[in-house]
Amino acid sequence: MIITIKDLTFYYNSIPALRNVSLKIPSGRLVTILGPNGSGKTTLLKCLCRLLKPRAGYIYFDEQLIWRVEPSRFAQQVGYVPQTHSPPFPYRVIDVVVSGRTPYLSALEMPSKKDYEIAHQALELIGCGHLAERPYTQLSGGELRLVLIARALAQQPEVLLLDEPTSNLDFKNKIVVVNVLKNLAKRGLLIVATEHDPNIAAMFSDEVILMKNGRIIAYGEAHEVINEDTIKDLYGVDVETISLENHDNNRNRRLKFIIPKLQHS
Amino acid sequence: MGFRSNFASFLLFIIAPLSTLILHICVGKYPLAPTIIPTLLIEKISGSTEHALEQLVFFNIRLPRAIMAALFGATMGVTGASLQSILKNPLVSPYTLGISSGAAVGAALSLAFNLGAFSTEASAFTFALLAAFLTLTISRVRGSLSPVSIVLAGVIVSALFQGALTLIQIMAHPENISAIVGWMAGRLNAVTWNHVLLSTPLALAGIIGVVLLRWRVYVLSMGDEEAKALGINVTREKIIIIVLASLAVSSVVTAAGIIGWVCLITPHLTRLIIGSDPKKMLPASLSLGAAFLLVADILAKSAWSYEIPVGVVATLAGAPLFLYLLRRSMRVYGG
Amino acid sequence: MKKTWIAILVAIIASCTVGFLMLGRPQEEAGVKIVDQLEREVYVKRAERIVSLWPEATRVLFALGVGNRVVGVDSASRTCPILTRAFPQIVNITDVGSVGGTFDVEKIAELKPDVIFARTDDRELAESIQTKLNVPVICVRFSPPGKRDWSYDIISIIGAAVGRSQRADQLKAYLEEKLSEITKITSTIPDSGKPRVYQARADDLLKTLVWSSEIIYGGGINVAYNPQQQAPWISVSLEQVILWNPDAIILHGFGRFKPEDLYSDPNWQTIKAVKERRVYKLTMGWVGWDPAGTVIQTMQCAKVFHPDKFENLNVESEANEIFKFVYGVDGLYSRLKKDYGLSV
Repeated sequence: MIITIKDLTFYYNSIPALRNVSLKIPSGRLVTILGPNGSGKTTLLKCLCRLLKPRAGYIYFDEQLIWRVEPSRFAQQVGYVPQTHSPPFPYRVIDVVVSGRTPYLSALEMPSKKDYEIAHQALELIGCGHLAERPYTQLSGGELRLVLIARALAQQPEVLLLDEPTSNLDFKNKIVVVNVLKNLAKRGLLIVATEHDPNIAAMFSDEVILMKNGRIIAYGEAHEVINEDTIKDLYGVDVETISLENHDNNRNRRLKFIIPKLQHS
Repeated sequence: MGFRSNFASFLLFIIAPLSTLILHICVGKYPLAPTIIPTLLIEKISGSTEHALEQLVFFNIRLPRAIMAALFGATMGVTGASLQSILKNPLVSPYTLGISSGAAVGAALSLAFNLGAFSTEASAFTFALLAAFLTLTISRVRGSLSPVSIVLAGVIVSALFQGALTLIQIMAHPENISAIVGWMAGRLNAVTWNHVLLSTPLALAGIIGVVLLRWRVYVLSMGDEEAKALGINVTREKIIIIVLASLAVSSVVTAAGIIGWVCLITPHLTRLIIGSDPKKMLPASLSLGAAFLLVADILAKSAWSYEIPVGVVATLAGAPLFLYLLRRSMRVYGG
Repeated sequence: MKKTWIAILVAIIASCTVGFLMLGRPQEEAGVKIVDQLEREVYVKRAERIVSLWPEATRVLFALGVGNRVVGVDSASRTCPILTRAFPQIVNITDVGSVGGTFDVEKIAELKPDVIFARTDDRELAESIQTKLNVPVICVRFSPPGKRDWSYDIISIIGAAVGRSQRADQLKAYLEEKLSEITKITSTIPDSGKPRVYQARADDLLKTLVWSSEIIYGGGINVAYNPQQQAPWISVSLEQVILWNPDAIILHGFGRFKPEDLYSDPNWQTIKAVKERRVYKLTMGWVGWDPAGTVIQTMQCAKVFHPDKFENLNVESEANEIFKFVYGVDGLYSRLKKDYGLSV
């Protein structure tokens, strides 16, 4: 699966949020869109999952124009995990996850036993099988985020789009989420997530898209794209970067840490 | 709070409405021993007039009233639960869409200007649907069909019709004003087979339609964006559900007036008993709504020496119960 | 600094005292002293321009012959079937609002009334109008607070207020006499000889009056009567009516139901009154009692309850006569009987 974006342009009323964005993203990668507030990263993500309709430009999943795809068919290919979710009622976790099977159900159909099995598997996959019977109003922020990821997985998608998946999570849960995403990318999913913390992006993504003012200013391997110059360009902050060699499951990875230079008065 | 076994479900779905229905039929001012009922049934089929008076009381007075009570309760229970779901708001009811104010205006117009008995029903129904349609239209004008805009539109429409209602009451002949007030209070003592036959088709259609769509209702409750991301045409589904609910509620309100609280309290009561199980929520609300109103009407018709409007009983009994349930469920919602 | 504070304090106390003294100053006591049916004392200097906020008072005013002095009425008075027939000019009187709704106090003020009549139920309204407009407001009602039966005190009170005490006494005496002609016969009938009667309200067949003076004076028993029941009317189920099985049913004269409606409804067939065709369209209350109506309604009831004892009673001609005495109009009852399909 390859996502192709061509000349994507989006306006909020008369304010441009995306200007002529073009790029190609292959699957099996954990891709992060990094940028400050207002850079257009969430807008780009929402255009990718058809929650926003661009003013101009095209998005192809493989050779298919995404707006030509039937909505439920599209939802069978693309899973979306929102940044915030306020539980309206105390549904059980398993019921929340099985709602991810909706794209496969006709209007009057209810999920079958098979659908529930798939939902359970999705929960197991992210290590949350034990939460299945809990009311999801009683979950912690991190657990809720993982359950929503499981719901997206129950859609059995080829693409996973996440809006700021590590935001508002404590340190431990940030790591948990990132590990889950990395494992999913290894299984062949195409994962695109927005992120505002350059450290997280640098440490855990395979590839990073840098955005500023609605344009892509860089796209490539994380440790190449993120450096003192690009960070200064994006955030206006002086930083120092440190690279570490890291052996990680037979893959040689270079991890980058970004340390801001604090002003001393 | 637990997700009890299928036994609890069975209890709820079948026994509660059935037993209250039977109790309702057996209770009344006219002394009719329950043991005579089988005899009456046989007589009706065979055409015997041995117990003509008892037959009249049972078949023409008790039965239509019990059926109407069950139908009304079921309608309000299921539409209340589904609207609370798709509008993500546990305090919303079908009346929030302006249906009750619309029906009241329709009935008031007919009663105030003495347009005849049948047209009160037709008028109430028409205006109830008009109000719902207005609400939908206004909420679309604000852009999306978001829960907030629907509720806001409903508040606006309700206020509009309330104003019209006040105007009508001022202009009406004084003798008719009490008829209008009486109609609005919601009463089942005047229900005949005509009412039942008129309301049942649309009410059933609406109820069944909503129950069949219960999975979509559930998915919509998680938010417009997420429902869209799961492949649902959010606007279309919401409109369908609201239209179905409006048709059902309009037809029962036309027959029995405005009976409140059933639609608010039933979903919460149901949730407390069976938990927030999306598969069972709507059918259970249907049953429990029917049972609740049947009990309220049993009290309304037999607890005092005269009839109390069932809406009053439902509110008086329902309000403290609602308060208690709210406090209990806050613990669950709070997480 | 301290001196200033003391000065201010003294000034405040002084102005408060003066204010209270002025408010507490008794009003001028000119005019006729009237004690209304809420035990309120008011003083009426003049009664050339009258406003009535209660149809019972309007009807008494016209009966006392001062209808031409009425400059403003409530909307129910203007649509009263009796008044509109007897005094067609009533439609030209200014409408100042409705009983049970709201009254336009400014409109009332514009009319510059000398005296205003209101319902005893509306004490607060009366007080507020009296204070705002500095016009005496007199609260009256045929059935005074705490009582269910009617009394003719309202006639005396209004008579005294408008300077027609003589006519008021005449009217009272006449009505009391006419009433006693009926009650002297009906009061001798034992309960066993009285029909059990169900009286439906105008708007709903299943709403009935708990107390009905005309039924009692007419020699009947109200099936819905319950001494514990404080409300004027109650809702019932058809079952209850079947259980009561009344001997006669009275429908409201100005309501929309006709005896034929009951005769043709299968659900009412088993009731004695329907079987024996004793459903009558009778009473003529229109937002309260009519002075002539009190007697006429009783007469109607007596005639249909005890035709044998009132064989020689021609309700129509008697009622026409009573209306003539009260309102000075001929053939009023005949017109009402024809227009509304009254039974007797």
